[in-house]
Amino acid sequence: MLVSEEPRPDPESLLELANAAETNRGRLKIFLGMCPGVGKTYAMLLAAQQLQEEGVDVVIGTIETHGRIETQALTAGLARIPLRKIVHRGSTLSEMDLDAILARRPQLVLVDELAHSNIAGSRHLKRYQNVLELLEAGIDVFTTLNVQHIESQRDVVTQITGAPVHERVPDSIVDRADEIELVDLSPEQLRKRLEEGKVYLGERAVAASDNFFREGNLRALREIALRITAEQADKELRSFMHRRRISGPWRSREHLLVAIGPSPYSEHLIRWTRRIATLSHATWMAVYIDTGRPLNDQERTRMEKNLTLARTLGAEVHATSGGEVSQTLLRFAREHNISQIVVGKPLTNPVLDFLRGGSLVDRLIRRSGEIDIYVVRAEKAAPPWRPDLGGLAEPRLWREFGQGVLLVLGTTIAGLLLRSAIGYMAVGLLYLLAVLLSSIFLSRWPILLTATLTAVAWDFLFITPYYTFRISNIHDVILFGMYFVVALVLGHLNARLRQREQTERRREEQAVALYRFSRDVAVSLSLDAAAREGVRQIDELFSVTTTVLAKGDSEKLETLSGAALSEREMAVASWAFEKKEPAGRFTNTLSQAEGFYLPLHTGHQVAGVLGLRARAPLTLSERQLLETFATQLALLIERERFRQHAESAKIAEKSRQLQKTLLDSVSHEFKTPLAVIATALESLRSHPAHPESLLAEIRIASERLQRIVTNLLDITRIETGAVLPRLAWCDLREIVDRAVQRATEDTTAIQVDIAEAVSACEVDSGLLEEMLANLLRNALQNSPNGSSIFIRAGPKDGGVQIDVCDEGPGIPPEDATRLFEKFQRGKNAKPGGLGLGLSIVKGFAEAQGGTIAVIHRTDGKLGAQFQIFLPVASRSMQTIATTA
Amino acid sequence: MTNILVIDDEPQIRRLLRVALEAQGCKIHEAATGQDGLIAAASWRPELIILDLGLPDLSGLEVLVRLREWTQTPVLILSVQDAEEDKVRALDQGADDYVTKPFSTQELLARLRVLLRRNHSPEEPVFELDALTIDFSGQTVHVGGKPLSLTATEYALLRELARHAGKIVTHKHLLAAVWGPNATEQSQYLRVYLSHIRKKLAEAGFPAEAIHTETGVGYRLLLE
Repeated sequence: MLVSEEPRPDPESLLELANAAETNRGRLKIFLGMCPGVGKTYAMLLAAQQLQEEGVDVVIGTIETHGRIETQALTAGLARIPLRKIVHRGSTLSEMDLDAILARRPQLVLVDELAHSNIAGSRHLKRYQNVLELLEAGIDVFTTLNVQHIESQRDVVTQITGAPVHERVPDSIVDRADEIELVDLSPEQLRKRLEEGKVYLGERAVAASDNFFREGNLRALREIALRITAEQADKELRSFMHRRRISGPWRSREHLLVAIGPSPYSEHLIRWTRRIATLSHATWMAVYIDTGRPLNDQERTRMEKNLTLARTLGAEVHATSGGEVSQTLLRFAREHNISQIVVGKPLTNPVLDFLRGGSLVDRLIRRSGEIDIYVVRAEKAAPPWRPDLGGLAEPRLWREFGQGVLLVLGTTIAGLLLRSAIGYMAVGLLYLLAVLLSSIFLSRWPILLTATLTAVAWDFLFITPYYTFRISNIHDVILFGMYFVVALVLGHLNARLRQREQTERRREEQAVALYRFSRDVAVSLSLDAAAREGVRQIDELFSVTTTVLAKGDSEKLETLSGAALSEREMAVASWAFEKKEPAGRFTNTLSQAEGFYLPLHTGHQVAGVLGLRARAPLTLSERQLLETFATQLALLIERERFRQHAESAKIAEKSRQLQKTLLDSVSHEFKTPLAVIATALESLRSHPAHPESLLAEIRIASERLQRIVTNLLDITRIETGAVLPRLAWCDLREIVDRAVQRATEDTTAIQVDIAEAVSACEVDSGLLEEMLANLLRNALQNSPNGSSIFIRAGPKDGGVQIDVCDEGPGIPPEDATRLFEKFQRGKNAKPGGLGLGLSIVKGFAEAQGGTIAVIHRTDGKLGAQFQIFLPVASRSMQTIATTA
Repeated sequence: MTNILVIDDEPQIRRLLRVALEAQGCKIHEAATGQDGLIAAASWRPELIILDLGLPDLSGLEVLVRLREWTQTPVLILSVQDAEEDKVRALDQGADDYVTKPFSTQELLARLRVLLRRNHSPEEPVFELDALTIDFSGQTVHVGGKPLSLTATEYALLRELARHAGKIVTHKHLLAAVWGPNATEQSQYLRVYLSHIRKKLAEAGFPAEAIHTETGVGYRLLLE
């Protein structure tokens, strides 16, 4: 099952190829050398010159010529981006100007010395990160690299040469290279060049150089370089075969798993696995199994380092918890479809192994079934290391040892006092009680110390002969032996129980925290509230200062909740957001920042950024919990965004509908009378029998058109605030009569009752007439034929109230306010009309400081009653007449 | 004497249609609402219905659908709505023609004549229009006595237009009739094939303009 023959490339790999072809990222070419001095820079410049001749836009990002004249000569004619000057601790240093290159956007940029570490204060820690950013921007890059700087080759090289390597690049960038050109030189030639002084070694390295450049070393390094190039060529061939659908011996994907811990040996294991994985084209994972044993600071740091190393080497890193390592490891392996597991050759203890039923490796192999197990020996060069004894260095532990000793002391004193009264066996039980007590509040090692001390004290003080360790009686020997075993086992078992309990509790705490987070955050009504709650919980749980950022309306990252960020920090957050990678403190990118910025991933998108300001780096489990929180937040932000999209789409659709209705009604109102006029005119031309009736139709249609135009103009005047009432004393009856005449030809159906007290009003007669005419038209339109309309005017609250009552169906209460809005028509309204009349009445009433309302008729009859109230002065016509 | 039912809520339009149609010797019945119109159509059995889309109670489309449940009486839509989608919707729901307000009386009368004529003459095995002759049973097309060679698709399209000569045939209708019910969105097929038909007709001496494009709606084989 492990190696299955597949007849053709699997879809996954084809997709990968399609993706690679689709993206227009830059191409990376690495000039690889076995060691300094083989002429990589020279080869790179030569290739660049050739490309420039072919018309490619080439610039030099950075080049180290080390004063060699031949190399210097080759830079002639190539454009050079000036280096950026950075002031660091008083001295000015220069560094490749990444932003200038990005701004210049050449087709190809030359970046020498890929393994270079940037000066503190640069955007990235390492130069290869600059290169990645350039590639991402679609710029091709030529660069140079020595094998010893490749992460996975580092310990091999160190073994060969004995010289430490400080600057490294991850293997992923070598894998990422589209082309690797080996710059090869035979060891003899190189040594010759060395003797001629043509190799620059740096000032400090001169002393070590003789050792480094021994012929044996060079041969070994050359072999490594050749192998890497061969691997690359193999990869290219495979990719070519994939592209051309050439069937070959496709192997199913192998999955390697390496078990790592806080031990320094793990580093070697990781590199080893990486090498094997690359050679067999397998994917690999690294797993840390948390058995519940607490790690001390040193171990935690080393653990982090190991995990980071695995991550940089391209492993998928996981942590899982479980009591028994071999079982947990195999369970994890099966869950993840692992075909091979890599473990370190352990430092075994025969006695302990026998008790446990074999060493870890034995147990693993016995239960592994179809999974292959690699056992890798510890690297010789690694420093000797024993598992930490449960954190012996911690002060808390020393206190516990003290407490154990005190407990033994106390019991001993009590025992001495009671020795003659109860006998030594009872004292033994007393000691056992003390051990039991100690196991309740002390941890493993103090318990074991207490157990041992009690045994010693019992023997020395209570077993005859007193004050010697000698035991004369054979059954006392047995008794002592049994006591010792019981005390130790008791202490050990209890300690284990507590440890397990602690693991459980920690796991439960995490589960509870996650539960609480999802409960409180997910149910928040708004995104703001959710973000606020999320920030509060993360702050509390990790004792950090948190900020949640999301993309705002302006497509820019905005603070959603939490502490505000400085401009500088904001830039770091933006970088994390755009590149979809963590940035800031404790990372390799922009590590000078105060905060750590984690992008909020949702599938392929990034919804926002979670910013943390913490004092210490987060532990692995904290980081995992945080990432779970981040996912929750991301989903929440995305959900909110989708909701907003849906909402605005709904609003847009609604307003589109409204617009269409409005347009339809306006065009209906205009086109109907126009159609009448056009048709009537056409009929008139063909000499009809009754031309008068056709002319009458034309007149009615023209009046209708005129009314529409007037209404539209009126509503425009109201909208623009151009209605300025001109008040004058008027005869109210005269205004009403004019309105009646305008509204209908059949004036008999309209009854008018005007109180004498308001027969003269100080109003704008034009506006009032227009209002009444509109109300009357509305009343006529909505009343059955033959019904009457009643107009009544009287004084009210220092003003005038005019009521217009009809005998129509009345106005439903839900229409009462809507009716006065523009282009709104009542549910029971008859066809025709734009729905402007009543809004004009309202506009004019308000222009005069008045109001309008509609109610059911108050006099008991069926129908609507429109009430106009105008706060204007009024008196009877009689007084006007007398004063005049 | 032709009985025509006018369903329109505008009294003026109704009065004018009455004047114009009665002058042509038609008998007019008016309905101001959709409900009244449906009742009148059932009780009075008109030969043709003129229907407005914006009615106070039911929408004109609803009236059309209810009419089509029981009668194939030609329906001409007379509406102010002049958007292509409105026309297509009404025609696809079973309307026979569509005239927008304001309208020319002459054009309206011409359209009504087409609808009435077709309704009077049940489908015949041979269609003739000036020099064009289509023999439905023999599946042959002649222009001025000379046979015209058409592909199967072209013939099917021309036959569909001829069967509804004078009326608008919507894209959807043509596509469904020729390519089947699953191809009702591919109106680009039509453009290609109709340009072929027009070219062949023109080469044979029959005016290509006889196949009139109703932009965004469909095609019409003009009778006059």
